[in-house]
Amino acid sequence: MSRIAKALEQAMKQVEGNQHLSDGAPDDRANEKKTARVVQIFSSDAKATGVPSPSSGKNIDKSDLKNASPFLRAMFDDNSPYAESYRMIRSQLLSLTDQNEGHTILVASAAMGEGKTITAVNLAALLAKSVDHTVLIVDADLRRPNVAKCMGVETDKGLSDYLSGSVSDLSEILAPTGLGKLVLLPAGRPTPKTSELLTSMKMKKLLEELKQRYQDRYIIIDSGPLLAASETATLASWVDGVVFVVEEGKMSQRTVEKGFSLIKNCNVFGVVINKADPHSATNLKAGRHYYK
Amino acid sequence: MNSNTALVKNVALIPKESYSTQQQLDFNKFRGAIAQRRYLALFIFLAILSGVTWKTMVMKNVYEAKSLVLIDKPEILGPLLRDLTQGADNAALSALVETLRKNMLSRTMVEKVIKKLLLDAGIKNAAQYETLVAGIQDGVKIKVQKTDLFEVSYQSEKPENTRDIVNTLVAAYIETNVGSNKTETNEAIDFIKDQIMIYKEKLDESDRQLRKFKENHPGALTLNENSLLERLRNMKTQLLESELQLKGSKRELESLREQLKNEEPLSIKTIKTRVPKELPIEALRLREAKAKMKDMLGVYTEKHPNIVSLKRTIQEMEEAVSRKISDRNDLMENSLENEEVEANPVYQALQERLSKAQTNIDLTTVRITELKSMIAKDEKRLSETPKEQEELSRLTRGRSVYQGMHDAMMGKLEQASVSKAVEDNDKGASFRVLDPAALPVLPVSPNKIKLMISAFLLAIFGAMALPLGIEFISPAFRDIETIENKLGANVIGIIPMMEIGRENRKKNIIWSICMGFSSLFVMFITMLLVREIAFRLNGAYLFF
Repeated sequence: MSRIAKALEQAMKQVEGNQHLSDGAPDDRANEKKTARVVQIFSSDAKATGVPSPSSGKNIDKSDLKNASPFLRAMFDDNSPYAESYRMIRSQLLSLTDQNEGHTILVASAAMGEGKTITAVNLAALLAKSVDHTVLIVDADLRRPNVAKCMGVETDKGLSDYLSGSVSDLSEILAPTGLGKLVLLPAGRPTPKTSELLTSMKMKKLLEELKQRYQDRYIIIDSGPLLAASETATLASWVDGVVFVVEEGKMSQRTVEKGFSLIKNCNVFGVVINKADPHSATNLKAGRHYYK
Repeated sequence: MNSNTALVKNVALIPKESYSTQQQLDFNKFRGAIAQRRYLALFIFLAILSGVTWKTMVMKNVYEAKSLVLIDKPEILGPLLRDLTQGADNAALSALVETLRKNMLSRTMVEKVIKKLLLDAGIKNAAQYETLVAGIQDGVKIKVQKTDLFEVSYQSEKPENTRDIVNTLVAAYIETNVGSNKTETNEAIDFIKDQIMIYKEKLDESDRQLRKFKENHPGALTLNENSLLERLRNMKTQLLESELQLKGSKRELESLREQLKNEEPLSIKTIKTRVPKELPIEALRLREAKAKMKDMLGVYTEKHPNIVSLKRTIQEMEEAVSRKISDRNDLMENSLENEEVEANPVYQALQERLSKAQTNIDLTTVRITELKSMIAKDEKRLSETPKEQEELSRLTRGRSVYQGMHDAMMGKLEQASVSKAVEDNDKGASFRVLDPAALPVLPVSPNKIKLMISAFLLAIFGAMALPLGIEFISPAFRDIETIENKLGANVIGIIPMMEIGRENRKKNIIWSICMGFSSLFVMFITMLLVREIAFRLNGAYLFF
């Protein structure tokens, strides 16, 4: 049984065990709900194959995103051009990724603050919103983890704990996001050995197992900036594809090129231009096309 | 994955037909660059605008006063003006300006102005004074508008000073120029008077010398060579005749002496002593001497030495004659008729003739001696006549020269006096102030309106230039083509800027506040500009 299946089993047990605690705090009840959903998501196929498989799950709506980042909430606004842009990216990625291959996607950027976390989260949410996909979003930016905060999920342990061995069971660190079929693998507690952990064989094995075991699941990995975190380039070589995020007009071309050069030998799905000015050249073109 | 990449390329995310024109894209690119660094742009704008405006406001106004002067008598400008024609030669004009400038801005003139206007009231040391003098000399500008019209201008921060300096300088120049002519005339008159004095003294000295010469050489005046020669010839003739006469007289004397030897001086007879009634022989001699005197007076003056000696001789003869006559008279009184031996009448006659002859001889000898002396003197004089004449000529010539110079000086004195009288009546006719300097109201510099408008433009330019410069030096990605070309990867999505959240609101509020203050500041600057424009138009500030 895979680690995820084991994790789900334990989660189920925990839910069953805590069901009687109906007088718990609102947050606890919320967490329970989320956990139940995680179990629900991953349990429907577990009985059949012993392997968690995607299920229809509940549709995500804004009420589920009370604590989430407004950028994430905007994803669920059908009239938002912001959401439309991400839908386009999602379409591209779906086209680029095969049904049975290429589901592990690293979202990277040259420097920090260019929007890769938001991009990763939004992509993961949109992918999870679709009918056919379950998504695991991994926060591999152990130095500045933001995915959980962006999604409004409180976490304790995470990837760093797992990789360091303080947590042996992956199920302990998987966190429900409350967004349907989207599960979060948070970054975990801060560690000084970020690079070593992320480039360890354990991490590689984890990725391989995630790829092989859940072939129809999308794994979106949020990473640290390429020029600041050396492990990102290593991760890029282990994944099926990289989405490179560039913030318009922020970094100099030379900086971006330098960051991109670190992954040029990897499979780059494409470049996403983020924070495009409404009147800029890029957005001007985008606007003409998008609102034709 | 290469097939996926190719798939991406086939996906026309952004059809090229919908692209904007290149200019619009470039404009948007630049706009994006400025928008991204808007705070920097705003800071630059405000910094330049405030800096230049402040500098303009604190700059002191400079006022200018001008005076237009007409030259009534162009000839005073000397030969320069002869060369100036309709199309005046630039070199000649430049020389004219330089001449005017040197004359008008000489240290003496400037110091006169300073003293008159009390501009050195606050001066504490020599260095400050020198700075003041140099400032005026450098600040006064002279421009020749036409050949007989020039403009004097001066710029200063104090309008009153500007006007006063120009007017005082022009007046001082005119006054000095006219006064110098008068001074020259007075000096000329004084010089002429001095010369007259000098030549007067020389003339007097010359007269004195001439007079002295005349006294020392009396004959030089009246005697000329010809008359001297004539007289010499006459005297030689007389000498010859006298010598002949002397010889005759000597022969006669010898003959008479011979005759006397043969005669007895006495004969016996009773006779009465007769007093001879004939005149004594001295009387005869006296008569002859007087006749000779009369002859000589026809030739010589009474002061002639020969005349003088003859007079002396005549006087002695007269005394001798008078003694003889008185003796004879005594004899006549005491005469007795007695028998005596009577003088031989022949002997007596002979003796008389002998005496006469002796007298003639004496006289002739004296005459010959005198003639010889006179001849010698005349010959000597004749030999000395050229020198005397030369001396006389020299003295006469010198006197003539001095007299001529004296007369000439007197003539010039008269001319100078007349000229002075004419100048006294002709005051200030050389220069005429056509347009005196007035109190300037509007400053000539700085042109604050131009400066403030320039400040606006410069601020805008700077606000745009710096962000664009940064963008040019270190460009960022702002369009799809550049990204795809540089990175070699397709753009699969463009996420627009999303302004949500408290942070964005905060940013917007900050930006709005900045823009608000900036707008107020720009309005303030604009009001200052309007104020300056109103000042230029009306001559007075509307506010502040």
